Amino acid sequence: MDIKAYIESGIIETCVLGIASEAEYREFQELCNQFPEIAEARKAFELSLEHQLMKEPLTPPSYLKEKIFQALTISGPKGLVDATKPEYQVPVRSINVWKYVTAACIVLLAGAMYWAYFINNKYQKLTRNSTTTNQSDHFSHTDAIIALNSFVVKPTVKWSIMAEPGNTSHCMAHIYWDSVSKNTFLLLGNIPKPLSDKQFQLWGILNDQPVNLGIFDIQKEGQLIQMENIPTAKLFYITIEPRGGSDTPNMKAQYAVGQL
Amino acid sequence: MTLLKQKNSIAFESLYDKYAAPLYTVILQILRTKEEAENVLKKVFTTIRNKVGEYDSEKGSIFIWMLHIARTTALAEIKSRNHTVPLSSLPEEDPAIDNFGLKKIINCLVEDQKKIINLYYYKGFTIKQIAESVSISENLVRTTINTALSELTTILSNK
Repeated sequence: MDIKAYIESGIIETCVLGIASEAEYREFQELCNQFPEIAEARKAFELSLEHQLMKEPLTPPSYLKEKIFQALTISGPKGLVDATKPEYQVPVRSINVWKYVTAACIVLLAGAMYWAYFINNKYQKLTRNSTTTNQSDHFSHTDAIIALNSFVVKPTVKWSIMAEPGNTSHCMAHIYWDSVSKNTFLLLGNIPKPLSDKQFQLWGILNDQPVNLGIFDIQKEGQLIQMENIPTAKLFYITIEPRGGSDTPNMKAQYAVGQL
Repeated sequence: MTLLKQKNSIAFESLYDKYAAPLYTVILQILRTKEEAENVLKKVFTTIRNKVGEYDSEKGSIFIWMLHIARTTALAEIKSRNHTVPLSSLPEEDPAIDNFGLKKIINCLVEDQKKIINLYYYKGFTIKQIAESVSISENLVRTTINTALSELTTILSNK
């Protein structure tokens, strides 16, 4: 087969633009699998087309985004998962302002009690496990307690549970990120150790791209690890990578996800 | 991609922020009115949400996949409002709409190629309909399309 002639025939562009016949497209798909040159030419045209279309496009009106997302989020079981709200949140009926104030007080009180319990719990665990830690880049138990106590109470620190994808009830870790210092901490929950040739790696999403925030090993539950700083992030996830870490995440081995 | 397939709202918002404008451009270039283009963009993102689980990266990039959905939805909109569009009633070029994206590059082609590609890609004409409209053979239409698309790649790679 004359691959050069095929590439120059215009068929790649026809297929990428979606104007080829079924038979042409099927043949093109098979040839892409057989000949890397054709697959490369396809990729190159896709990229140049995307680049051209992204260059100074006409902008839809700003109100349209809200309208579209309102429709996407509320239309039944196919709707988007509103990741900005906890799953247990229920619709609130119209009530007077004092009911809101009372509810807010109860929530704040419950939150404070939870934090007191949470910090104390971690302190106990860290104290119990303090003799086994030997990783120099991880905090000692005393440092961890001081750091955790002083860190989490800051109003600029955001945190989230990191849960197994698709099973938000299974907490794997807590992620903390300070919007001022940009420090990122990971507090490990009950995570099983991976195989000896594998290692966990934390990623943050910055400008739609995954950013490597460091690799880590599991020593014990309640372990606090300072990871790499990130300028801004809403999403974090942990993947299992070959020991030493990867440049890009293996999304098939995604282990836990957390959203601030 | 995993988050998109899990229908995560923030992942969808990022997708919208990045790609809504180029998709809207193509839709508007097909439909010609902003109101219709806005309605179709809404339909397109609904389809993307419903079908994102079917997207296969082996068959092309996510943007190209979304571009197909945008184009076919816009063409379906045209078909739903009228059955055939005579060549003589095709709208005049409007620089405020047509001087962007892929259309801008197509406008660099020679006149015959430009007309045929516009009918094929932006109007959804079949090769037979184009041959009848411009009174040339179907084979010549096919050859013109392939030559024009090959030229398109050359122009794009020189950009």
